Amino acid sequence: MSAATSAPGGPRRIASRWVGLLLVAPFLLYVLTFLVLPLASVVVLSTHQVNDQYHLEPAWTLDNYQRVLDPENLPILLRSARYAGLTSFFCLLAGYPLAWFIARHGGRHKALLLLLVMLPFWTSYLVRIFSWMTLLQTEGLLNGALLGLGLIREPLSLLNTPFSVVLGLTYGFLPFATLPLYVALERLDGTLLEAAADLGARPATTFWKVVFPLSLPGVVAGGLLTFVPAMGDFVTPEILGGVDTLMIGNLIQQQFLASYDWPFGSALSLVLMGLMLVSILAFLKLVGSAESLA
Amino acid sequence: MNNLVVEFREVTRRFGNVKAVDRVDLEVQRGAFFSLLGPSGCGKTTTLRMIAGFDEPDSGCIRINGQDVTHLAPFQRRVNTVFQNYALFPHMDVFENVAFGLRRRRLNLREIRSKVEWILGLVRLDGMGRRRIQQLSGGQQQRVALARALVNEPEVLLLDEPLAALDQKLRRDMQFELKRLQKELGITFVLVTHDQEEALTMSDSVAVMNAGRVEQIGPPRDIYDHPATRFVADFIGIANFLPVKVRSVQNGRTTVVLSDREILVPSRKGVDAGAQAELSLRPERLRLTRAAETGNCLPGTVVDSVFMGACTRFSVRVSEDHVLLAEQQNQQHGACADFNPGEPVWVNWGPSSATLLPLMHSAR
Amino acid sequence: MSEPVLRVLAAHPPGPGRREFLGRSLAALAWLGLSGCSGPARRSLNIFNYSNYIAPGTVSRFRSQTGISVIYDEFSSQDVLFAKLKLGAGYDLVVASDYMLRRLLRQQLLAPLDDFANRDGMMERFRHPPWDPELRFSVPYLWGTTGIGYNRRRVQGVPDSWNILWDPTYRGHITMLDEKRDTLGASLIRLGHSGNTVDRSELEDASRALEEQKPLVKQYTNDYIDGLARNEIWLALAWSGDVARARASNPDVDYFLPREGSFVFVDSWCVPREAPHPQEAIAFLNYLMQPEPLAEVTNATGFPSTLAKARERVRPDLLENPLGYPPQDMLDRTIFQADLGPGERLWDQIWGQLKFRGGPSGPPNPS
Repeated sequence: MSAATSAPGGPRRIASRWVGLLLVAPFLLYVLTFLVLPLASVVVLSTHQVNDQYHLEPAWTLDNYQRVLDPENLPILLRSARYAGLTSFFCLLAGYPLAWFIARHGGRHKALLLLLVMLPFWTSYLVRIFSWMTLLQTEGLLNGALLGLGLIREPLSLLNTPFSVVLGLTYGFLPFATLPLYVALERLDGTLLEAAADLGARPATTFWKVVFPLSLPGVVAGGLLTFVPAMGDFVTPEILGGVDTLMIGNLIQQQFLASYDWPFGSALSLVLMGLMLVSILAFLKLVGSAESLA
Repeated sequence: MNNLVVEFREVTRRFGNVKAVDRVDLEVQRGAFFSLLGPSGCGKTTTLRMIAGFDEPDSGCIRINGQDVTHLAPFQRRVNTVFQNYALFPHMDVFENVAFGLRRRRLNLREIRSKVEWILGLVRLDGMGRRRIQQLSGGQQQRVALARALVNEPEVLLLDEPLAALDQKLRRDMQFELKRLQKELGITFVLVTHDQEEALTMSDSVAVMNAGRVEQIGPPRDIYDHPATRFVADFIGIANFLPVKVRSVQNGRTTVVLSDREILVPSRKGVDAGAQAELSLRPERLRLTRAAETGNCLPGTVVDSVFMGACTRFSVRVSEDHVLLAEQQNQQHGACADFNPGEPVWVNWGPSSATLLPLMHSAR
Repeated sequence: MSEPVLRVLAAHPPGPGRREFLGRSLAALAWLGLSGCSGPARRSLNIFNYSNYIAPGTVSRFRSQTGISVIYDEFSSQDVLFAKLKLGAGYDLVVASDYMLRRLLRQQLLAPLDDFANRDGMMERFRHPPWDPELRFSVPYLWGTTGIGYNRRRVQGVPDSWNILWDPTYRGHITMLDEKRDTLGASLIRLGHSGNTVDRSELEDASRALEEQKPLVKQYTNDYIDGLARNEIWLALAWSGDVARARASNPDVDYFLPREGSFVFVDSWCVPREAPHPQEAIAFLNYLMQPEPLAEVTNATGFPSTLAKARERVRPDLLENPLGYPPQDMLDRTIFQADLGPGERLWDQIWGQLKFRGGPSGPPNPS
C-alpha cells in the first residue's frame, strides 16, 4: 500500500504506523538487549574453536554440537533430569502444606508469612548451602541429634550423596514451588470444600477430587519453576555432592571456568535449553489435554 | 421415634464475644418447608451451617432424625446443602457435579446414571449432563446445585439464600419450582432467607430470628396476624405501633386506653391490668370512614396518600406523635378510597385485628 | 562490595584455603563490577590474588606507606585468572602458579619487570626457574607441595605412600583435589608414570585407577581445611599450606609427601602486558618482597615464601614440620607441574570424563 493510492486516509495511516513503532520501540530495545543479543552471542560462540594456544577462533563449525550429542553425555543428562525431577517432586510435596496453611489459615498474617517464605533469599545462596554442610556432616547437628535420641548407633553418611544434593536443591528452590501453589490455593473458593464434605466426601477425597485438580495450574507452575533452575544448578552439587553426583550445570561451568572450552560450553547450554523447551512444551500440552479431558 | 427431622436444644454458638446463636430451640417436622427468616447477622445462616455440620455449637444439642449429630462431620450427615453461590465444582461437567455425592456412596455406574438422569429431568435440565459449568446461565447453575443436593435424597435439604442472585422474574419461577420439587419428593426443606415475602409464600412454618434468638416460630399466617414481639410485627409486613395503657382483662378480651378512648383487643399472656403496652395494627386492616362508627376507632386527619395499584395508602395523623398508615382497596369507581389531604377521618378496626404487645426492653 | 563479605568469611577459623570454592564464587561476583575502578587523579593499583594468600595487614600498610590506593580482588582457581586475563579485566598485578605462568608467557600476556630490584634474596631453588630463568617476567612469591593431609588418630601407622588413598578402610573419609593436575598427577605418580605425561594410555591408566577409587572418595574438592580440622576428612590430597592451617586448630592433623614422589609448586607475581598501572605494581612488589612482610604472609597462610631471609621470622611450628619447609631429601622427590602445551586438551578431556561421565569408556582394567 502506498500513500498515493490510499487517498485521504493514507498519510495519516502511515504516520500512525510510525507512532506505533515508536511506542513499541522501548520494548523491542529491551528484548534486543537482554534476550536476543546475549543469546546470539552464545550461538556464535558455539561455532568457534579453541586452538592449541588457547585462542578462540571463529570456525563456523558444528563440531561442538556433535560433541554434545556424544552418548557419553547421556548419563549426566539423565542424572541431572532425575535430580531435578526429584527436586520438583519434593518441593511440591513440602510446599503444598506450607502454601495451604498460609492461604487457608494465614488470616491477616498472610503477607508476613509469605515474607518469611522468601526470607532465605535475603542471604547468599552459597552461605545457605554451606550451612547445610554443617548440618549434614558426620559430626553435624542432624547426626548429633539422631545419635543423642538413640535412633542410630553410627553416624550416617548424609553429605556428598545424591540425598544431600536433592535435599539442598529442594531447600534452595522451595519458595519457587510454594508461591504459585499459594496463589492457586488462595483463589480456591472455600465453599467448594464445604460442598464436597456436604456431599459425603471425607477430607482425603475432598483433597484429591476437588482441591488438587483445582490447584493443578499452581502445581504445574511450581513444578516447572523448580525443575528448570534445578536442572541448571551447579553450586549445590559442587558443595553438597560427592564424586558421582555432578550435574549438567557443573559440566557447563567446567567448560567456562576450568577447561577454557567456551564453544563447547555454549553448545552444551544451547542444547540443554532446547531440550528443556521441547520437554516443557510437551509437558504443558499433556497437562492441557488431561485437564480438558477431566 | 417422633416425627421431627431437625431438633435444636439450647444451642449456642459464639464468635469471640458475640453470640451468633443464643440458646436456640427449634423443631422441624418431617416433610415440612421450613424457613429461617431474619435480617443479616441474626444468626440464621449460622443455624443452617450447624445443621449441615460446617459449624459446631459451643453448647446444646442438635438431633437429625432423632440421632445426636452435634459433633458429627458434614460427610457423616444425611443432609445436603444448596449454597448461596451454588459452589459447583468448576472442573467437572454437570453430570459429574450431580454424581459427586452418589460416587461417594459407591453406587454402581448404572445406578448413578439413572439417578442423575432422573434428577436432571426433574429440574428440567434433560440432556445437559455434558455441559461445562461455565456454559450455564445463573438459573441453570441454580438447578444443577439443586439437583446435586436432591439426588442424594437427603433427610433435610438446606437452602442458603438460594434465590438471592436471581432476577425478580426468575426468582418467582424458582419459588414455584422449589415448592413443586418439595411436594413431589416429600423431602424436608430448610430455607434461609432475609426476604419475608419468600418465607411467607413458600413455607409451612417460619422461624423469625433476631440477634441470635428465635423470636417466633409458626405458620406464616400466625406470624403475620399474631406477631409475638414488636420485632416480628415490624420485620414482617408493615405495622403501626401505638402506645396504650391496659385498663382491664376479661374473658379473653382486654380493654386498653388510647388517646382517652377505650379500645377492645384480644388478650395476651403477661399483659395485665395497669401495664403499659403497645398496639400493633396492620395497615390493610384499618378502615377509613368520614363518619364515626361503633367499635374501635380513632379520629384523625389525612396527611398524604400514595396510589399503589390494588390499593391506596393513606397517612393519617391521629395524635401529635403518631401517624398511622392505612391501606384502602381501590374500587372501580374509587368511592371508598377517596380522601383528600387535610380531610378529617375516622380510623376503624375490628376487635381481633389488633395485636397487643408487651413493652419489651428492646422496644424502647 | 565483596570485601566485607570476605572478611566475615575469613573470620571463621580456620578459614578457607587459597583455592576454595567460596572465594572463587565471590571473585566471580567481583568480576562483574570491576573495570573502570581506577581514577586517573590518584595513584592506584588493581591486585588479583588467590583467596587468603596474603597477610591481613599487608595491603593496608602498603596503602599508608605509599598513598597508593589498592583494589584487591581474590580468585580461587588459576582457570578463573586465565579467563579474566584473556578478557582484559584491567589488573595490574596477579599471582600465577608455575604451569599457568608458562602458559601466560607462551602467549606473551606478561610485561617485563625490569624495575624490580630484590631478586638476589631469593632461595636458590626459585632463582632460575626453567620457565623464566632470569625472572624477567615473574617474581616467585609463596611455594608449597602437594601431598597427603591426614588425621593421626584415624589413620593407622605412619603412612608413606599414595596407596593409602586407595585403602578401603577409610571409605567415605577421603577427599581428592578438584584440580586435574594434582589428582590425575598423583594417580600417575602412584602408577610409576611421570606426573607431567601427555601419553594417552598412561593418562587412561591413571584415570581408571581414580575411577576404582571413587567409591572410597567423599568429594573432589578444594574445600578440605575445615573437614580436616573437624575430623570429618581423614585423608586428603592437599596443598601443604592448607594442611598447616587445619593443623593450627587441630593438632591431630599431619602431612606427608609420599615416597613415590609428588609436586612442588611456586606461585609468582606478574604484571599483565596491558596493565594500566605497572609502576604501582612494581612499588607493591618492592614493598612486599622483603623479609618482614613475607614472614607475616607465611605466618598467616601457612605457605613458606621464596625469600631465604624471611625464614628467620616464621612461626616455629611451621619450621619444624615438613608442612612449612620440607627437608631437602623430601624436596628432591618433588617436581614442578610442567606446561603440557597442546597435551593439556587431552588432560581436560580425560579429567572431564572422570568427573562427569564415570571414567574412560570400556570396562575397567583390573590391575
